[in-house]
Amino acid sequence: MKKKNIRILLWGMAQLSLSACFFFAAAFANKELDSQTPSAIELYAAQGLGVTVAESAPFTEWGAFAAAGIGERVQVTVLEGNGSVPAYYQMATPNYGEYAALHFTEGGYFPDDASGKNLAVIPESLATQLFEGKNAKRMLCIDGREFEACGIYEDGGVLAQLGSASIPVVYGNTSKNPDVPAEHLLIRADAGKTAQQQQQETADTMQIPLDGEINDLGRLHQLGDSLLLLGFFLAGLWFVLRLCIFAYRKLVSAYGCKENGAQRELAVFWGASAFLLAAVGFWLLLQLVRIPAVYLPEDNIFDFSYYGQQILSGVQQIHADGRTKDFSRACAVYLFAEAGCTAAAVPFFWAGCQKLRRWLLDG
Amino acid sequence: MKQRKGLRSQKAESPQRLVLLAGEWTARGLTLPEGGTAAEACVASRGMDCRRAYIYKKKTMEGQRLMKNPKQFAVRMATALFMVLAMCTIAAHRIENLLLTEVRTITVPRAQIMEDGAMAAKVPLASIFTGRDGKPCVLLLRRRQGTWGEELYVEETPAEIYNEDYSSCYLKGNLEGMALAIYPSRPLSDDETVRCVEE
Repeated sequence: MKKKNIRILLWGMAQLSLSACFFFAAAFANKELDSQTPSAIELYAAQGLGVTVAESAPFTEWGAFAAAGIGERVQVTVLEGNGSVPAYYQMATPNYGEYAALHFTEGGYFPDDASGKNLAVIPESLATQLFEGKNAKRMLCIDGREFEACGIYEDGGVLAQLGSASIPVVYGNTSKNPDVPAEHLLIRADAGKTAQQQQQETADTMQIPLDGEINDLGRLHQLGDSLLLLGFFLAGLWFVLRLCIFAYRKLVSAYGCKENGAQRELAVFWGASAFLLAAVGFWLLLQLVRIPAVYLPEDNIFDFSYYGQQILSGVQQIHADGRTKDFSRACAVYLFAEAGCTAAAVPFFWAGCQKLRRWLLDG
Repeated sequence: MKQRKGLRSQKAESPQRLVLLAGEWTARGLTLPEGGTAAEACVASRGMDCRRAYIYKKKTMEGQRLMKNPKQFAVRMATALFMVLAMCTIAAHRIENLLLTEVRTITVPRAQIMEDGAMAAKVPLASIFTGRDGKPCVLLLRRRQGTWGEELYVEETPAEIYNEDYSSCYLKGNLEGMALAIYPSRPLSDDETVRCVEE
């Protein structure tokens, strides 16, 4: 019997540990989603937004947005070396690095006043291929034009790379075509405003109508936080359920108690207190459920077909192959990883708590 | 003891343990199954271990007792139902809050004198909606007493547009200082309860 008890205890602890690991993995995926993808509204048009990068640059400081131009496939070589590497080059505004969540291992993003120099930032993988650890000034040749690599940014984790094409992306402060149209704008997300509202305000600032696909990456970040909280809510429901069962048994035993009044009153007291605690705990747990309204169905929160459609569109987003650097796709990958870890953590938590309860009662 | 194929092997309880089980059984006011002791209940368990057999038998006995005592059954059902209803009420309140349409608000500024002498207030184009009659309208934000206290709702009000461009429009009428609902999270209808994001 003692062996069996120890086995139950070990099983319970193993399940709770596994649950904790999954919760940590979900929290990690959420943190990576926040750090590797921009918390912004992305306005995107494959053929251009009707404004050039050069035109949008003066507005970027007080317009709270950044812009990147239509990219092109280029060949990148080292000035003193042989061999070229295919890459994707995009001209961007001076504040783009901050908005696009680029994390630099060396150097930094190119400044506003580049004094006529051609500057570029390259990913770590490309730097390793081209410079092989050399620490000298990094001069590149991009389609015949000389650039200085002023910064090297991290490629991002496995999940970030799953959401991007395998070709390295280089951002520069100039372009062969001075009137390169802006392919996408990143507008800093404001939780109190809708994506359309922020698009309209930016258009008002620039006095140019901006028509394009709107991707609300800020709301996706909120959804990531909501998924984690939802996992905690579902895990916490175990305690509410056990309290309810305890309260039920106490109240029923109070009714069936044939002994003196004091014992009956005590049973009623314990039952009522437990139920009140369960109700308050349930109400507090429900405050953890904070899904953004745009992701909820209109009338019926239990409309599972609606959620199914949302999940399907997320899966389609992951498999979409249009863009080289697609922030929506990267967000979708992170969200799926987080949802999967949370979905795995909750049943293990319940099972572990159940085992521990059984061990305590048997012991 | 009988064993069912495929199940794990049964652990034999010691005679002292079986006596203890039987003692517990009678102490709780439960009569033992006809013709038997706890040991015989184990024998009849068909491969389950004795503790589970004891619990199974106890529950069966209690179930049978309940059916013979409808009053107690009714009390149990009523208690369970009350608890479920209370929890559902708490959940319903939260779900109702989550499903409320979110809106942002702007306050209508003071009206300006236009070129032709008319008075019109400048508001964002997002303030203008199409009403049930197909004509332009604005949604005024108002307060009222609801089930859970004060709540916000929108009131559809016809709007007379003086002029408009791609981002804003000028409204005639006496709307100065009134709160308008803009950029709702989903299409709104008249008299609908809403939640203000700024609050």
